[in-house]
Amino acid sequence: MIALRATAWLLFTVWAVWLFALQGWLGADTSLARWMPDLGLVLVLSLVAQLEARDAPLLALCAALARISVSAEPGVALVAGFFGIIGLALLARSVVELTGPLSRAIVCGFLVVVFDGWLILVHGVRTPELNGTAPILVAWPAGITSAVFALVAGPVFARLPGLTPLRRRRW
Amino acid sequence: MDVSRSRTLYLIICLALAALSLRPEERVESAFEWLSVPSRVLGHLVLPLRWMSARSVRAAELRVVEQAPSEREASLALLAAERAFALPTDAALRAGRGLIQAQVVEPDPALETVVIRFSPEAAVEPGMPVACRDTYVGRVLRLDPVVRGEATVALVTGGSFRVGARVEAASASSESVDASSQKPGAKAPTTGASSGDLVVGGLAPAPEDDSTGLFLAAHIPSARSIESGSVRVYESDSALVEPYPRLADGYRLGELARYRVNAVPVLALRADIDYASGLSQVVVLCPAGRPTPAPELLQGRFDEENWIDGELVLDGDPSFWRESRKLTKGRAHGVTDRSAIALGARLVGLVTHAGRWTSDIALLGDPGLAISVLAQVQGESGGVRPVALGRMVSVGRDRSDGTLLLRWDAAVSPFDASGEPVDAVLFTGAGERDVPPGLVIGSARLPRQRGSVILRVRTPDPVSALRRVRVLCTPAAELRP
Repeated sequence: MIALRATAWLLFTVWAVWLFALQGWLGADTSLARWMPDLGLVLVLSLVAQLEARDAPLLALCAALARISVSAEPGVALVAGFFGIIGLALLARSVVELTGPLSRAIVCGFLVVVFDGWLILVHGVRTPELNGTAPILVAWPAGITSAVFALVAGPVFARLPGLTPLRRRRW
Repeated sequence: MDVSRSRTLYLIICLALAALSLRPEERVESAFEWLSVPSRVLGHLVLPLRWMSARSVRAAELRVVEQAPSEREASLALLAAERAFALPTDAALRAGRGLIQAQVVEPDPALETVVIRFSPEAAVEPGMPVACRDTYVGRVLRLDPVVRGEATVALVTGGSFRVGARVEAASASSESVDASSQKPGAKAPTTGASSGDLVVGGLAPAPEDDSTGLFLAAHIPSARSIESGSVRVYESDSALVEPYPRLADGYRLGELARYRVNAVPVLALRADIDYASGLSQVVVLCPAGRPTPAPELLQGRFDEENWIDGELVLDGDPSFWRESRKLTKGRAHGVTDRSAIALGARLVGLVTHAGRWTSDIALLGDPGLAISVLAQVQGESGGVRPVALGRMVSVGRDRSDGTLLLRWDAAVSPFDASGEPVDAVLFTGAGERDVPPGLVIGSARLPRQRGSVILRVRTPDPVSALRRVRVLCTPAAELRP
């Protein structure tokens, strides 16, 4: 059982790396980059809806590891960001049913804006040359497209091959 | 553990991580570096995406490499012109002095000191004056104990800096001096009618109607009537013990002005150069007859042997507002923070964080990337005129047309205020220890007015589409503890 779950976490990390990389690759050098849905976050948040709460820290660490491998954002900020949005998603899950299409889309869109805003804030604070002018809410287009994407593809993402052992929440 | 306690623990971890993100702690950052160790392996998972764009990347790289020889030739010509431009134009200011050429490698935003680099064979000593063209900059404070050929210069803008000065009447001009009769220190090499002496050093508050201007503080004027005039260094009287200060006699400090700030009268000098960002090439003044070898252009620290090949992991970044990449080389290969990334004769970006095996790099369009810029403009005589523009900060890239957006804060404009904007080709300038001057950035139209402005820079090719790059490494002997 442990080996099965370890494999599932490994596969989740691999899927997340691919999705983050695909997101970066599709968004490179295009004016539509800000409308690119955050594919990796959609995967993470789709899985949160069906995950045991005690697995949240592991999910955050695996997602951060995946993003670190293709992104230049500071590792500690990514871990903090994933811990934060997964915590918020768990909080939302205690109020609304995240497996429902509409609630899943709304929460996903909101958390994408929060996550990107967090990374922009960290970049602004760590880069004094920006004089604190980093536009934190600039990610709203990505939030909208991520919400639409979560609406359409969320269930597919949660059922990607190899992730079954992670979906253990009883309804 | 009950649910309530685990939630509390989770919240504490979140808050601690958030605090550590906003206030970076070196030990924590290096601990998190271990998290990126498996990411080296995971990075190989993106290979299929790299294959998909391999052909267009190769074509872009070939174009850049093909144009490299001509671009390198143009940049060497510009750097040679810039070096010549830093020499005093007034023959009287050259007479009886040796001129050691040096390059600023570490400016100081606080305007206290700068670090300069010169030929290790040059006889630079503490106390020697430093100038840029005909303008006094400061004096050598100390030689670097680790790296031969580097020294710290105390700037005239420093809070505790003081230099003797003489005010010339407004009509005076040093151009009328008979250069052959000049001997530094024997008499102040200025011929204008002196209207008094004063001491200059530190910064003065700028007048309310010119809040972005740079003004040097004037102290202890010899006469209350001093109101205006050109101010030049005059240390002859105070130089009885120290051998070097009088070498600076006659170098200009600025234009005297009297104004009020909050109803308090201020006597100050309007600076000729922007000490914060306009210093690029300088000369150290030494007694005549001393060896004054010039550092070879793009040699030494920027020798070919100090560059290594590296690869960018992916063509894009999941954070759409960034233009950053992962590099397959790290500290183990000699890469340090702020190392230059180049291809051919073009600047691709800078290393923002050098990890053990991989590094994070910021490309030119990454918001917050700061670079020192040297412009090549058309001179009045038709030749090339180098203009040190100083530090510019990237605010991103206009992705609709690929234009790079650079913020330029010019306290002192290098151009006449009247006329059309100036077309210029932008290169990296001096002022960065690990960035060679003369790498091509792009072309832009420069405004003539000073102040803060966003420049739209057309880059020759989308450097963000490149994959194989060259990284400047620091030799082990120059690594500082």
